[in-house]
Amino acid sequence: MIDSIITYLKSNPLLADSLRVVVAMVFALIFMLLNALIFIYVERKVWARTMQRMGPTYVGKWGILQLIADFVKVLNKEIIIPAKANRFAFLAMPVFITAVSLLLIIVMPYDYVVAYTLLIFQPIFPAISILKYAVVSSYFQYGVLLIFVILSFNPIFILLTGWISNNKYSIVGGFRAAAQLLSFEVPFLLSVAAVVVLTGSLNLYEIVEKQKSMWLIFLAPLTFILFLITAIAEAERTPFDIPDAESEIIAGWNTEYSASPFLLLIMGMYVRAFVSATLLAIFFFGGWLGPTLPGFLAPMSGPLWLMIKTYFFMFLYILIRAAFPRYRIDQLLSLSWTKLLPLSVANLLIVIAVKYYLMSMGLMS
Amino acid sequence: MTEEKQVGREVRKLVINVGPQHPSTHGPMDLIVTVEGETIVDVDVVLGYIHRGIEKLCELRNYFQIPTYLNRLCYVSGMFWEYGFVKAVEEIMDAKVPERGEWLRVIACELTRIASHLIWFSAFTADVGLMTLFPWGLRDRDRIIDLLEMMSGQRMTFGYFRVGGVRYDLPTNFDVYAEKAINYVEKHLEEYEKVIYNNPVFLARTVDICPVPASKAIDLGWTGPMLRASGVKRDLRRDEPYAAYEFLDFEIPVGKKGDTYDRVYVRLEEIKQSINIVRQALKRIPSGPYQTRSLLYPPPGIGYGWVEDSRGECGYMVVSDGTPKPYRVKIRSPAYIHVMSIPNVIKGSKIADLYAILGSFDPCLGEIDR
Repeated sequence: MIDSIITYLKSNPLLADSLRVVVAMVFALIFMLLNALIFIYVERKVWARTMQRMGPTYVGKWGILQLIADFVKVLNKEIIIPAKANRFAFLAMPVFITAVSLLLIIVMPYDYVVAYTLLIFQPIFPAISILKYAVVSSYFQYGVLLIFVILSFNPIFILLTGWISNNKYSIVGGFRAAAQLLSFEVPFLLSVAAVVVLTGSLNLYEIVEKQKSMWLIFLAPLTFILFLITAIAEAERTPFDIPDAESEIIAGWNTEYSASPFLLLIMGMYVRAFVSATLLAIFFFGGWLGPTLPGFLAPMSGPLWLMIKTYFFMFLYILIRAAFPRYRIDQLLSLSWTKLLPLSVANLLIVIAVKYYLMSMGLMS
Repeated sequence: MTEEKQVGREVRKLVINVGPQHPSTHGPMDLIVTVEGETIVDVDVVLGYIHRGIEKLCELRNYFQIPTYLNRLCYVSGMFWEYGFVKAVEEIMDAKVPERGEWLRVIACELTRIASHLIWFSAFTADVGLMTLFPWGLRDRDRIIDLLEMMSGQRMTFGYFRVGGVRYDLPTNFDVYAEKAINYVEKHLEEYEKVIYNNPVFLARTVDICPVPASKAIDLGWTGPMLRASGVKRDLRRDEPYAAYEFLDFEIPVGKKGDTYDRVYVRLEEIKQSINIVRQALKRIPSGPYQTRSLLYPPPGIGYGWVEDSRGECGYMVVSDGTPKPYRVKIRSPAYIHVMSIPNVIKGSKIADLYAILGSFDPCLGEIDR
């Protein structure tokens, strides 16, 4: 039966493509939201331990269900709309922000992860093998470019969110966020450009395949450090969480939000953090490359490796958050323009030289 | 939002109301901050949100009841506030305190100083965004609070001091418990220093932020750690020794520039010195009575009692008219003087530093509003 479906879809490429995209997107969406939840749970737990606290313990075993409880609690809260704010725009902004953040699933290889993980059920449900055809949706030739197009929407939406709230703290927070994100975008893009130069591809899958002989972290450690710093800043996490510096401007651009709109904003932020952790794994640590894990089938160990690496970086994010205070906004901007920008330009030149040398030696195509 | 026109260029000034309900003020206080861009041009301090009329209450209670109110002035350093009053009354009565009572007072005061500085440290690190250290300070403070509970029966509002001595003697084996708790705190102090002194972000947020030269600090009437951070070696424990401080050997840490970093440094060093003092006192405490019988109330007269509080010099002027109730009690709060001088020192700083600076002043709204 599956064969007949596949032959039918092959004769209708348009239908097949749209079906693929829908299936892949649904899987990736569920996957991403689940991981955002896990990330929040891990962060609360790990951060609590660094603080010598226990973190959530009461709801469920080890407090696993705490986030579900919080989720339900937040949904029960009243949606407060400030009198001075534009009602429609105020409620629309969180939706836009979350939607734009979730757009990243078009490009990120999460559907691949889900589909190949589900393949372990193939002996029980043979029909599941059809999922293999769903994964190609994220095989974009210009995936890296698209990621940064999507990410560059963020400053505009955040600025607008702060502005629409019509609250001084929100406006200050919004402008700070815009200034921060815009000034870190340049070194961010330049360090990504170095990755693209080294691998010669804008495709996430090809970038990973190029690292089969050697992970990029060993070839370009400086690029990795630059990318790590700027990725943390782009995800608005400590020590670069000035937009929502709670000791100064309450909660920054999302001060006025409550209940479910607030939930959407927080979810958007965690999704961005999760995506940037995955990008670190893909660009520098060989993505899903790695030896077959003991006890797992070969097609499954790839996605597992990707997840292991992603969670390693999320762990790093949490530890960085635990160890550092917050920069002041002017210190942050001067860090970006006077240190990171020249460094990333120099880094790009170094990387070009390295690439030229390796090509002349015949070690790289 | 107000707009002002200047000759040559247009300057937009934004007035931000920080408080009385704000996540990072250390209590209900209101700062009306005028900013030009990110730079502070003016601050107006509005106080009095938790004024409880303690000075007036003192006129309506007798001398035994009053210390119970006074430790509520600042519940993180209650012992000092009881001590100041008791000292003033003892001055009027010319009362003698037995030797062991004086040493017990030293131990109580120094333990309170450690607890107070630790809770300040917690709050300050949270102000600069280092949330991890917040529970660390509270964890260590809890051990000290346990000791104070053993001494006085209360964790925060002690009621330990009385005219002519202290209320209770030390419990048995107190020195064993104290040594354990102090070692615990001392071990963690090293951790704090590792985390903050080697932290580039912490240094960027504190070094050269709001420096106050010594002359200005003296002019503003600063006392305690704030004055010592500006480089003035002034400490009542050394300059006008009371209780048993003259027999004790301790150093007075001073800062160099009087910036936020120095204010952090001085307080952390003071914790070490206090630990040192408690160790010495526990070793050398003499045996004997710890309180004397005294008159129920003092004869007519005026007495001034001042002690080195964890925030500065806390002072009481007590006027007695020979009745069981004082005629007048005037409280000098060091934190009030520090906070009211914020407009004089903060101009030109960045708005993002406001809370780091305010936090380094160690405001305690209980004693400020009284």
